Amino acid sequence: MAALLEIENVTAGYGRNQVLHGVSLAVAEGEIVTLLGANGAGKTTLLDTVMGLVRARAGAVAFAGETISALATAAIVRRGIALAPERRQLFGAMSVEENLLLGAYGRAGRRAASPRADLDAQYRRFPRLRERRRQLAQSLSGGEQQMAAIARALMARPRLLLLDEPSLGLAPLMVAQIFQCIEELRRGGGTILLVEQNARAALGIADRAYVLETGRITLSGPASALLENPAVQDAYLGGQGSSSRAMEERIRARAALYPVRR
Amino acid sequence: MSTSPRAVGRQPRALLFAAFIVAILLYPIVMRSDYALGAAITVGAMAIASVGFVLLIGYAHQLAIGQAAFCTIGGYGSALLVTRHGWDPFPAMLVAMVGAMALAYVVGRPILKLRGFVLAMASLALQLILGFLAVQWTDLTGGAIGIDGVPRFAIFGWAVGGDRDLFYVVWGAVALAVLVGLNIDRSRIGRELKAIASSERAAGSVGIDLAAAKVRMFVLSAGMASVAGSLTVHYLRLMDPGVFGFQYSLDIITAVVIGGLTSIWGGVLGAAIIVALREGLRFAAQPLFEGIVMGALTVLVLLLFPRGVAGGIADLYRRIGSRSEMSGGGGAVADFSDTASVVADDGTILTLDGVSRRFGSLVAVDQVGFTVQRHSITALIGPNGAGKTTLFNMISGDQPLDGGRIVLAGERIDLLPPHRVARRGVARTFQNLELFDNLTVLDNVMCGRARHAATGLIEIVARLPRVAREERVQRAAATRCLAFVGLADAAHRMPSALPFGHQRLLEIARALALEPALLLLDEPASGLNDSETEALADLILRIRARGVTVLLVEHDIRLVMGLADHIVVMNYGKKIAEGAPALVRADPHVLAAYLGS
Amino acid sequence: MDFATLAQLTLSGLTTGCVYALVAIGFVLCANVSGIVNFAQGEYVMVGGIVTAGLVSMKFPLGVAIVIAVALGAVLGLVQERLTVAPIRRAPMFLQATVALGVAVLIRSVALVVWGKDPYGMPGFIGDDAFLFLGALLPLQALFVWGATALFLAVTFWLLKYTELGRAIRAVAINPRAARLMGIEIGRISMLVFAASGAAGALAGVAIAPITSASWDSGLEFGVKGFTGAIIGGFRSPFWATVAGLGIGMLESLSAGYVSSEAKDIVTYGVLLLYLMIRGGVFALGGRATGAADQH
Repeated sequence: MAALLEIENVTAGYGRNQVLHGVSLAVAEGEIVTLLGANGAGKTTLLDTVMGLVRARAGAVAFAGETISALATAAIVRRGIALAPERRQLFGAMSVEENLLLGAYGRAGRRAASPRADLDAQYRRFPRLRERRRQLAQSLSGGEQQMAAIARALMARPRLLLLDEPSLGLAPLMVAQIFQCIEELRRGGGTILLVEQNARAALGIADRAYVLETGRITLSGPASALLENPAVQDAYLGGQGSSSRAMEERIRARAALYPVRR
Repeated sequence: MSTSPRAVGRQPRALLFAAFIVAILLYPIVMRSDYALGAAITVGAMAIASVGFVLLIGYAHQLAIGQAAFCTIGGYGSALLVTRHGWDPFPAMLVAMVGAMALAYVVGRPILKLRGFVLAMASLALQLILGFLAVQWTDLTGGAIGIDGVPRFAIFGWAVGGDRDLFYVVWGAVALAVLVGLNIDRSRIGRELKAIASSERAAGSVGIDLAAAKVRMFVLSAGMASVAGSLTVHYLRLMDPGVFGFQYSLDIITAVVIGGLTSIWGGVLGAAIIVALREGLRFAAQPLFEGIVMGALTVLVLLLFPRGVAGGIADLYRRIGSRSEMSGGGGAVADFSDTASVVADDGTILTLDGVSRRFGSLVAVDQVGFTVQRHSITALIGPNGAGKTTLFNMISGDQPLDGGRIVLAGERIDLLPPHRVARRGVARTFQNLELFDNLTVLDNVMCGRARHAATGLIEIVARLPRVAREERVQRAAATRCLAFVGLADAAHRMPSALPFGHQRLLEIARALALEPALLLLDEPASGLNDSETEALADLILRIRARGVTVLLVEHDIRLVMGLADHIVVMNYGKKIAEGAPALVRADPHVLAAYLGS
Repeated sequence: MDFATLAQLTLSGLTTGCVYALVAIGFVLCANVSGIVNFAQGEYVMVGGIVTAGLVSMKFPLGVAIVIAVALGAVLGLVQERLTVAPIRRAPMFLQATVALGVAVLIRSVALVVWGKDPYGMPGFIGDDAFLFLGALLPLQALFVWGATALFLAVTFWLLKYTELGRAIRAVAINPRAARLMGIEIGRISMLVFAASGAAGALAGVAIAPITSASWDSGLEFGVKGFTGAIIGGFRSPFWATVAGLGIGMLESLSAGYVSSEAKDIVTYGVLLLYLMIRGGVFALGGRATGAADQH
């Protein structure tokens, strides 16, 4: 069965900085795939490339069998991909409800029903947003903003939902809630590509995972396998793995070579 | 598409200028008619104003729509002082020039602090006001009739005999203006203007005063416009409000656009082209079409050939010939001195006290306080969104504080803008790299020497020997910094040609060129692989060994644990732990923050 | 000064202020969506006025002339956006600004060639009588100016606040990248906004032409004064741009009455200069700018 989203050998970046080098990744319908990586690894660039905000220099992105690498962002949204961007990026000076309505702007079948039905569905899913629906988005707490960002993306009726670091800046309780909500989305038949730094939480709900390091995929496999993987533990789970300790020791040893001139 | 002026080698430049002088000397001999001389004088005056305008728009990237206002000041200044008060034309011209420059300073200094295109309209407002005053203030200016009977130009008793003499005076002034422009282009000031055009943030971070740089060019352009005005008035032998109207401002803009706003010569070329066009249209009995032609040309040239005629010629030349930029300065890896001048007695170099920052209802930084000891390597860590970068930006001057204070060796720095913080001895790098793409690697690092510049605009314009001496010293210092980080071979390449890891090193070299007491590194290992990360650790240790205190924000735990003497941990904007690595690593709060519960 | 004179000055100032307000809104909308100061804004007013006056003098019916003039304004705005804004969106700002200036020069130069140097007058839409209001004697045409402005403002604010399109425009002004993620096509929005600004300017020009008469270079003044309104209004919200534009009109008129009729011409320019100098001067002690990006 062909995957819903296929990223094949993509090289992309911003101007002089080619951030991604030959990245390949797939997401099948109905699964949660998570992409882990440190800052600067290229995770957001990858999502931007899928959404058409960045043009791939090489390689292709295919969605439901159709190559979308050359399409404009609006066309990609219409085909059923929505992104809840890093740091939420809500329209702060507009109300929560206006933000959600904007999410429906580019949805598939937009000449169809009014977005009222979608709006109610989101309010059912996130009752807190209904309470705050006339408030300015910038006045919401971090967790509420994240909910709003996800709800806004869902208003587009996407077949594939992209989430960029939803746990960013959120209290652990909030993170748990958000992840619970993500799981519910998958249970309801959604497909999700989750980009995260909080590896433990992400691997906890994902089916499969990839690790991105300096623009290249270095690891991939079932989430459970990666949870056990010592390299992942080192880098992302604060483990005491040998390779990370080794570098640390080496660096500390070098310090002795460079006494401070006082 | 680069709209920054680019360097051409030294010899061709001197040759070009020499050819220019020869052309000036020969022109009146070859073209004897009154008409040709008159046209050339008109071109010359406009060229002076245009060269000044190139400095303003091409180098400082400021659009001013009412530049002819300063021509008006020069014109009336000269006319009044000479006819009403019996002054000699030459000192009158100089006084008018100083007056115009003073006005430009008074108006420009506050306005150029603002962002956006406010100078454009402000300049137009200024011209309209001056135009109004010229008509209404009849006692002073003679109103709409103006002042006539302006005598011929004279320099200390030697009066200009006829148009031919005036031609030489005017074009002598053009040559001088071009010389001034060229001197600025290849100087530190030219380099800094290009840096500002590339990245204002990075320019501020190395101590370049953005507003002051722009004001300097505005003032200089006003002076040149004023001289153009004075000389025109001595040619026309009269001055009235119609001589330098809005159309003249537009003419200057169009001239520079067509001539090429990235080149000093563009001002001269453009003036010639504009006057030729105008005369051509008049000859074809279609003077009304002048505006259409000028407007259309402005738009088309900017859309299709933004570097204009001069830029096109320069590109052609570059393609045929080869650059002869000389590399200078010693490559020896000597010391680079540290400045231990900003250290308090108790050994702390930086103190944060109750520092806070809010964005709307979101508290990004919440009452954070800690101290940084001299010669230490301190790391600021925490999960994403913890507020580390905001805190960093508050130290470097890029973000204001909503509460608390930041003290650098006994003096508060939390109210200072970035360039002043830099001048106090704080250098920084940027997580997403802010290099000056339009300058070579070496020039990038030389920008870091801004803090150590002693020679100013006047010395540079006059090309005093100490300017060249200082450049040599700075170049040597910059080269040492490059060698220190291992990039000595890349000195004449462009930053975009370097691999990512080397670009990071370049930014560090530029920061070191400041000779800072405190170096702020913003996620320096981001995007580096393992071996590059270890090399970076080595570099940081060597930097510390030279006496520089290091404060870094970093996600790579291995680097942090290996390097840091002291770690500060943040989460949700608050400081949650602080201490030596071993302590922090075992702290349950820290573990909870990173791993979640 | 008695109330009647005050009313006279204020209300006639309000009338010209309407034009400035419409120009100011045009500046703000274009700037928020495209990032540039559209120096051609004032020229649209000139176009509206001179086309209508010109057509009327050629015996066109008034209604037809008005429709043509406003449509022409919209078309000019659209063409400007497509040909000179969209292609150079990534160019440095000063370049984009200079191009906009070039467009303004082009428009006024064409007007010079087509309609000549002399100003065009035209009769008021329902005649040149005057009416009395609160002690002030005003031309009947003023009613049209107020009416057209009020109508345009109402439509604009309703559109921005209550329609999907209006939300999209506001979204683009706040965060273009996030707007694109919603499926909003920035190019189309930009085209629309420029066309609307062109139409707004032309409408203002049409309405005021009988009062001030139109000539090829009248766009300059309208542009600078409208810009002053926009910038004092903060260059962000159309509402404050309107308020400031109206205020500038009234200030001008009051200066003409209480100082001198010559002062009227430059009081706005002086206000602009002083305002900018003070705004910049407040930070003269070298404070910090609030960062636009909020990074954690």
